[in-house]
Amino acid sequence: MLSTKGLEFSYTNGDAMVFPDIHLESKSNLLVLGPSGCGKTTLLHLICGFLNPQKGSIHINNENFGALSVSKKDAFRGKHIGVVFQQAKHFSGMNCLEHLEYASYFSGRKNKSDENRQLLNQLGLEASLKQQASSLSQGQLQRLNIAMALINKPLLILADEPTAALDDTNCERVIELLKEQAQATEAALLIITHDQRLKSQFQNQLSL
Amino acid sequence: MKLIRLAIKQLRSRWLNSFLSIILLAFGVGIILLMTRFNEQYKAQMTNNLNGVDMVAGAKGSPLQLILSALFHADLPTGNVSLEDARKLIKHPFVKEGLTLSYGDNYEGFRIVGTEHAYIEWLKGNLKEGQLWNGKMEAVVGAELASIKNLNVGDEIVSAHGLVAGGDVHNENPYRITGILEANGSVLDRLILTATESIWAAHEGHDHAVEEEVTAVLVRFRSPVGFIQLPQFVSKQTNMQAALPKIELAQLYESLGVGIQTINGIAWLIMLVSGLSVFVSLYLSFKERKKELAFMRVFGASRTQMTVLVLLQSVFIAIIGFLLGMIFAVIGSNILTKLISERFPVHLNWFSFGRMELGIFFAVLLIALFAAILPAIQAFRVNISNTLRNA
Ligand SMILES: Nc1ncnc2c1ncn2[C@@H]1O[C@H](COP(=O)(O)OP(=O)(O)O)[C@@H](O)[C@H]1O
Ligand SMILES: [Mg+2]
Repeated sequence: MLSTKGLEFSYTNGDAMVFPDIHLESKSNLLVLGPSGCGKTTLLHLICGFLNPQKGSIHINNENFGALSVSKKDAFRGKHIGVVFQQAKHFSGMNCLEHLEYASYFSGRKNKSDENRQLLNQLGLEASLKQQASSLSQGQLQRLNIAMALINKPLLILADEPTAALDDTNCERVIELLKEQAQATEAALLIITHDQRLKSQFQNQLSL
Repeated sequence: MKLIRLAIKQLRSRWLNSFLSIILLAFGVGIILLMTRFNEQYKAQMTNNLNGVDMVAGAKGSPLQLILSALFHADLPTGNVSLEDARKLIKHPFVKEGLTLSYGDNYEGFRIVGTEHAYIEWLKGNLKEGQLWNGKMEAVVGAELASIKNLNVGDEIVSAHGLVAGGDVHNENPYRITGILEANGSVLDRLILTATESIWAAHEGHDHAVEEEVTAVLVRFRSPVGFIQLPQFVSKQTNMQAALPKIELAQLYESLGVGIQTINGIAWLIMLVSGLSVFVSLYLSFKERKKELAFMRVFGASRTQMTVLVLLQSVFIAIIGFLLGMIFAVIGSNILTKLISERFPVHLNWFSFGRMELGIFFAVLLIALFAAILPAIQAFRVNISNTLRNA
């Protein structure tokens, strides 16, 4: 599903970061652990196509993703990759349902409104369907972000410190949801974190 | 379609940002529409109202005032002249046709004009009801006036001295309406017409011994030689002044034209400033907007879509500004009409959408799009990685 080989990246005036190879099968999970500043976010941005690798290759679903053009990467990401960030984000002036509607629209996928409702129900947002996202709590917003990452049924779900901003209860809930939903959509799940609370929850782990 | 909705959502959630741009745009558009329509229409209407009158003679004073009062029934009369002088002019061999007008009285603000039946012919008027006046104190009224004041054949009206409502009332001598004219868009629509003798009769006993006077003489020339000979004849042989409408109006158009051009220039400047304001507001809000743009890219939105999104917002600002400008123009036109109706008897058609409006719309669109070029390029070039890190 996902395999990286010999990935290297350096920011201008920064040391080169060399990343270990990653192989991830469909329906499997991987937790990537590492201290702050070791390049976790950089790795995630490489896999998402926000950054271009300076050395090495990224293959997703047998596609040489790392070598695609910017617009092809955008299109590919929209269809096959779902991303969750440490800091939950939202679009201004939109309610929860509209967020899912637009997440589908951008990926170029036909959107079904009952699918959106169902997903939001599963993520415990049934009471907030028409609520402006700007007025959600941090935990609710993170769940909305997860719904947005899942709505297009991606092959690969990437999460960058999805629990860092959450308390223990929310932390556990979010991880449960991510694992559950990844399984339900048969997606591969890659979580990148320095949050030691997650260590016990994943069998496959990799340290940077 | 979804992208258009998104653009509107974003604009709405940051409406304060674009408020100034829209207002400035609307002012610019409003002023230009107002001035251009005025410029187009008053010339056409005033020229149209000349009806082949080559020269107006009347009491000495401002020639433009004489023309405005005698031909357009706006502005005050310059005074009265003797019937003898008027007849002398009309009999001149270079004069093909001539007629006299006597005005200075009103019925509730509408002007009463003493003249001959020929005046209605000159102005291409037709009776709708009843018949023309025959004896003294009989009158024919224009269609617009008849409907405003709800006047019918057989009604009596009382004239008052002066041209605005509320002067001395000539109670003892009312006019009886014998006919109503069809509306034809000329000054006839708002006039009360009667025999010259009726005007004199209305003043009898009031002004004591009434002299036989008229207010203006309208003249059509037999040949172009009249343009040279007749003004000289009037100033040398009579106690009147002569005014040539075409020349006076040409001067009026010219001086008004300069004013209109200046105002138009200022309006275009306002529009350019509004373009600048569109640019500044898009540019300054970019820091905030780019976070959302980067987040959209995460879900597969293309760089082209992001560029179009910025351009669309600018287009909407242009459309809203233009529509608001049209509304401003209508409001402004009503105010302007009231302000100038004493001097310019122009009934303007303010609700038009033609080539001119379309042209201004495209100009506004162009300004807005131009202002959005740089912000659109910025949107195209958003660095997703950096932006999401700092979000
Ligand atoms: N845009 C950038 N320009 C230069 N250096 C950067 C930039 N972003 C991150 N870095 C540096 O790269 C290293 C890795 O950062 P990051 O990938 O964010 O690590 P982590 O997510 O593990 O905290 C850090 O030393 C950081 O300071
Ligand atoms: Mg990080």
